[in-house]
Amino acid sequence: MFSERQNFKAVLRLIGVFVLAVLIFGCSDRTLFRAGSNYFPLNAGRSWKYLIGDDTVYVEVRGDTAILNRGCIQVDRNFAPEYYITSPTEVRKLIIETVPRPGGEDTVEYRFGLRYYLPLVEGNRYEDRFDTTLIYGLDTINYTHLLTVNVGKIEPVQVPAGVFNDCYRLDFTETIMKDDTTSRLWVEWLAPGVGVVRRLTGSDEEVLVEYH
Amino acid sequence: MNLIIIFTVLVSGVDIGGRVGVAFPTAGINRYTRSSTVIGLQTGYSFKQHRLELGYSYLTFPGRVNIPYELNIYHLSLLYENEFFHRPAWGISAGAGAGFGFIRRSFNTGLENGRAPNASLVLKFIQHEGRSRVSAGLDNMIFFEKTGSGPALTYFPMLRAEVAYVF
Repeated sequence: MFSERQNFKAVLRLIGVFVLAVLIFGCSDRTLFRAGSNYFPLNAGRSWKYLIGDDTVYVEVRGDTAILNRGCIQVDRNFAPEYYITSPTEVRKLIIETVPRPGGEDTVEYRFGLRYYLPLVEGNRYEDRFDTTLIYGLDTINYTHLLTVNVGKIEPVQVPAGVFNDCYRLDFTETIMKDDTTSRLWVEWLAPGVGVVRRLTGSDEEVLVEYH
Repeated sequence: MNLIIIFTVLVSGVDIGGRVGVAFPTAGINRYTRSSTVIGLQTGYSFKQHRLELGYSYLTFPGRVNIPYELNIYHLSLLYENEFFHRPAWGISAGAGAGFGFIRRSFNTGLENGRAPNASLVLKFIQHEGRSRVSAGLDNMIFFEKTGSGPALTYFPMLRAEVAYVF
């Protein structure tokens, strides 16, 4: 009886060691951490300071407002307002596109276009497409605005504000097709709880210097 | 030695059974997912009020508002339970242990696989009758992950019921 108890205690000790070993040495990939993190936090009062070469860009969340009869968040980028709608599954940004025409400009797009489709998962690909027809007298031109996003690899990013782990690399391709076709490519790195820490547009690099 | 083995056989038992339950996402994970169904298997070894349990659970958290997102956890655990309140036909037990979760996130074409260790704290109501062992209770799964800014804890409370055959 006594030895049986001793055996059981030995088993319990063994389990204790196993538990400690699992918790101490059990390696993780931070998958759950990424699954629960907010990669685009837009809370009132938050601000970011970026550097593009020698130029400084200040980004600040101003608070709630309404555009197109929808509640949205105003974010000032060097005092120029941008508007976002956020939900648990997506972030939309107000897009205003105009085309010149004799006697003034025509607004061809005034809508909240998809920017981030959440949650971010490596290898995901999504797009946002807008089609309309422009009429100039007897001429009609098809207009298409297409944004394609590839959620690339997870990597650490080093910027003046520090080293950020678990950043998602997002490759954006924006194409506007009308009488001519223009394309714009840029890459963003988003850090958990911080947002955009680095943006690469052509040869311009925008890096996070500080954030609050 | 033979006496010890015979004694062990007489006062202890091995049980094998299955489990079903529901797990709830917390912290930031509940922004993207709804509660999960849980199915699994377990085998236990009992000695008086003590019990060791080796269990496997499969948790699947579907995405919110019909987005094609899914978080799956394949979870293995080893638990020690103590039936601190015992009556002939039923009892209440508390337990603790550790486990390991193999995690999979998928969203459209995106796929991530990972793993994380966890600790479990369990409180169960148990009914024994003949060769059946039925239990229901709360399992608190706390996953540990190391991040650049310290450890990150992810907590999943789980309500589950188990049915087992005692040999």
